[in-house]
Parts: sequence; C-alpha cells; structure tokens
Amino acid sequence: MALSPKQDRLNRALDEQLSAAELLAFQSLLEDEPDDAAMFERLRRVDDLFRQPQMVAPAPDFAAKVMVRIAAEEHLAYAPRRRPRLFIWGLVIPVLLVLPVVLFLSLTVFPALTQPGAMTALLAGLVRVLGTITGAAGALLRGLSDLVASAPVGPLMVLTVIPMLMVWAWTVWYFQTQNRPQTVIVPVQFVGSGS
Amino acid sequence: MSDEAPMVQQWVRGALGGDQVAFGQLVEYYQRPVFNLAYRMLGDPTEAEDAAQEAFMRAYANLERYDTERSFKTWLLSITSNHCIDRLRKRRLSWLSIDEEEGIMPHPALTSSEAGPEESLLDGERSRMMQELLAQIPPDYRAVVVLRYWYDMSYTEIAEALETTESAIKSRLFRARQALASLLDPAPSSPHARTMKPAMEGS
Repeated sequence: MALSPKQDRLNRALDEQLSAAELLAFQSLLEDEPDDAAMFERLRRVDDLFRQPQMVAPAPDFAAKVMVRIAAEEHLAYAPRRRPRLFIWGLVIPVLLVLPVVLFLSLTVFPALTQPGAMTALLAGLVRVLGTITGAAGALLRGLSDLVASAPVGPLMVLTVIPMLMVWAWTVWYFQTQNRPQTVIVPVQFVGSGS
Repeated sequence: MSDEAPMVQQWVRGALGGDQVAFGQLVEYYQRPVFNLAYRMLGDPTEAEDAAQEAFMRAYANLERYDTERSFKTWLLSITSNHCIDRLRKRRLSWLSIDEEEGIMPHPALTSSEAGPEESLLDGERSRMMQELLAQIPPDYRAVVVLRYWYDMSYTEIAEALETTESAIKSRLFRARQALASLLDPAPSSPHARTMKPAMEGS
C-alpha cells in the first residue's frame, strides 16, 4: 500500500531528504498539528535508537568454514553446468572416431559398389553368410534338444543354478557397496584472518 | 563493472573465472556485513552463522547470474536477506513473544566495534534493545530496517536488494518505524497509536 503524502513527508523528514522549503512547511505543520508532532517525535526516537548501530562480526574461522563447505560441495554446485559440456564431448568424441572409418569407406568400398555386378555379388555374399548363420543356429537348437531329451538335469541346472548364483553375487555386491564408507577428499584452503 | 574497490572488482573477475582463491578473498572481505545482516534478521548467532555460510554458498553456486554492472555487496546482501526472510517465514509458526525473547543476548563470540568498557556496556544494552525490537516486526520490515540503518542503503539500493519497488520500500520502512515506535512506547497519548497496530500485522 502506497504512503499518504503526510506519511511520505514524515519518512523523508526522518531521512533528512526534505528540501529547505519543504522543511519549513513541515515545521509549521508540526506546530499547527500536535498529533503529527507527537507522531514525528515517536518516529524520531526510533530513528535515534537505530542511528549508527553496531556491526557484529562472525567467529574468526568463519571464512575458512565457508571455503571448506564450498570445496566439499563444489561438485554439487557445478554439476548442472558441467553436464552440457560432458554431453557435447560425448557427441564430439564418437564423431571423431567414426569419421576416419566413414572416409575410408567412402573412398574405397562405396565407389566399388557403383560398378556393374558389384551389388549382385555383394547380395549373393550376404545370402551365403545368412545361410551359414541360420544353419549354425539350427544345429545348435537340435543339439540342445537332444541334450534335454537324453540328460534333462544338465539344462535344468544351467537354468536354475546360474540365475541363482547371479542373484547371490549381485546381493553380496550391493550390500558391500552400501556399507562401504564414502571417501571424500576435501582440499582445505587456508584463508587469512577475519577482516 | 560497479563502482566498488578495484581489488573487489579483481576478486569478482577471478571468482567469475573459476578462481576459488579469489572467491575466498570475497568471503573474507564481506563476511562481516553478511553475518551482521543474518544476525540482525535472525537474532540467533548460531543460526546467523549457518545462514551467512549458506548465503555465500548460494552466491558461489550462482556466480554466473551476477550482473557485473551491479554492486557485488548489494547482490550478496540481497541473497542473504532473501535467505533470512525464507528462514523466518519457515519458523513463523513458532514465533516467540517479547517475553520469551528476552533471553536473547548477544553471543559472547560476537565482537562489536572498538569502544571503551562503559561505551561497550551502553552500546551492548542498546544493541540488545534494538535486537529485541527487530525480533518483533515482520521479516520484510526487518530487512528494510537493517539495510537502511546498518548499511546506510538508499531506497533504490534496498529495492534492488529485496527485488521490489522503491515505493514498496518507502511504505515498508514507514510502517516498520511505526511498529517500532509503538513497541518502544506502547501507551502513547497520541491517537496515532491506534493506527500503528495494523502495521505490525502486515508484511
């Protein structure tokens, strides 16, 4: 809520911001209005009390404590700012690694593909590779099927003991990491005595 | 750059460039005004130390947002006062009455300006009285009074620090003065006393 003109004048009078003419008008107002004069006197008492107040100082090790906290928490404070930088490096490094390969392919393999018959030969090669893979997969499945039929304990052991071992190993690892004391290296920086 | 001392400007530039030692110098240089503001706002030296540390931490974490055209001190005091106002609002439910707060004494670790024993005694008494009065006015008013009287800030600077308008600051300061006057002299003969109570309630 904005101040009334009278309140504003009282404020400015306390802050010694009235011009000479305004001050004269203000003084004559106070002479004519005893309530305003009483009010001004009460505000002036507050002003007198609060004039030239004392400053209190913190403990001598205050600055050192702040710097220790900053050093300890710096990774937290700066984490959001570092993330974009890491993201950019995460893009740049793969591009730099892939670029020579792409250049090599564009200079050697791609021109060859444009030659007549090259594409047909390539497709025939791909079909051969796929045929070999599916043949191997079929043989593996047949072998497994024979194994299950002849000795069902073996696959059963594989399907139960191995997952159980994995769960046990994960549980042990999890509890070890949870109970391990966190090591935080805090570089302490000594700053001089308080000002 | 603001019109602060060249060495402060140099430390600010260093801190902005990631130099932790430069920021350490700024902490060293401004620890007293920041702690004093926190103490005047919160009234408790332990909480004030924690709040002042937190203010420096926030300043460090938000250095990128600092506008070098503004005064670093004003920016720092702005962070401190806003943090203290937040703390006071959180503890508003457990607001203490004047009788309960009589126990608040300046902490022995708090050192005042150089003065003789008699002056110290008088100043100590005055300081205690001011602290008790401050504790009874709303946080927004308290911040304006502290920035005005302890830091001699102009209305414009206070408005900048508290992120509000100059007109709002004038109003808050006047109402804070009214509230303090009614606390200082609880039974005035003037009919104006009746208009002071609402000032204590608003913030």
